[in-house]
Amino acid sequence: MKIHLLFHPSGPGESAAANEVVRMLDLPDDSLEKQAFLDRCAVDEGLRRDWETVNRTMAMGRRLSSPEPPAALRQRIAAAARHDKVIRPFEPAAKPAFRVSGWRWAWAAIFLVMIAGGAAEFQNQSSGTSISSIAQNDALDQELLSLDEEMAALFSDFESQFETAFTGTAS
Amino acid sequence: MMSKTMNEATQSDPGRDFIRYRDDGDFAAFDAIMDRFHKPLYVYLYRMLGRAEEAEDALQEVWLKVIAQQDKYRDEGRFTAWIYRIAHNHCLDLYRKSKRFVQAYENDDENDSTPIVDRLAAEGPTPLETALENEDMQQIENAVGMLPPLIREVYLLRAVEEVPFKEIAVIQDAPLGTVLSRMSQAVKGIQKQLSASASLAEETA
Repeated sequence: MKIHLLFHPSGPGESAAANEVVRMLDLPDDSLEKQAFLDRCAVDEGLRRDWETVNRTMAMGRRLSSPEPPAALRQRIAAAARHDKVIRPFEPAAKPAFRVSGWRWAWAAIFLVMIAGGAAEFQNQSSGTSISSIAQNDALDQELLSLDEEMAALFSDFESQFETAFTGTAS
Repeated sequence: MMSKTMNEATQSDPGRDFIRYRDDGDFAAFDAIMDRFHKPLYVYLYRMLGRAEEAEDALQEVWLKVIAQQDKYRDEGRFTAWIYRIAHNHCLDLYRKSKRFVQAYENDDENDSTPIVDRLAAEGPTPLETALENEDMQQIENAVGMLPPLIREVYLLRAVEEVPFKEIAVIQDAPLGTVLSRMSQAVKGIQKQLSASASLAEETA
């Protein structure tokens, strides 16, 4: 009885080689890379056998049974497709539009309020150096000076009256 | 049968048909898409889910998602990848819902390190050849059905639907190298299953 070793762990190099073999399935027959691979298969018995195994397994897939779906199912799906177009009659595909979400609007509003508040505050602070405020300050100063002079006059008048009352002589 | 369908597909661009349906309400274009994809999608779902009833429900759900998500399709010449990606995601959802499949689906890539069948002996026909010669398609169907879902999916899409590996990478949202690895695992896995079946048959004989 002849015993064949059927199983052994595959190494990473072996996996890479196996991947290369199956990758050839996607290459057109007239590609140079595939031609080179087929040339290698002609001289490498193991590679040739791998390639044949892959091809046979692919051919096997094409021979698998292909059950038919129920006809009523297709009719239902076609009806659903028509119904969708009744709901959304011939709408062109929605192109990506520039949309601003609600929270972005909220942030923008907060930002604007902050800017407006800041501007008002800045205006208040800077009003001390404006021409009108300088004029107002000068008027106030004048008023204070005149009040000061009036107070001084009243005070001197009061002193003279006091001296007259107690000494009988006017200064 | 499938290759015939693919040849038909190359004659008209399904992506353009879909846009004609979506933008102009052209039902004939939608019919053309159904001609191209209805049966292949059913066969794909049947092989991925394993039961006709589940495949029928899934097929309806997938088409309804295609209709509902029509605005998301961008004409990049990858309609096949787009529609199969919807089907793929639907299968993933079903696998996740039915807990019994989750582990098998998510652990597919761990099978890389498991022992796999080596090159078979040069002398004599391989189990695959024997199965093909004997037209024992049931053995082959079983071998395909035994593959882990992601590996089976790559095999079905490439071997049955003739979808290029690059598009399968888009469908599975996986690197091309992973897809190629899954394909080579599919080939080896089928060989392994057929070898096991042949050994069992010899023992029982």
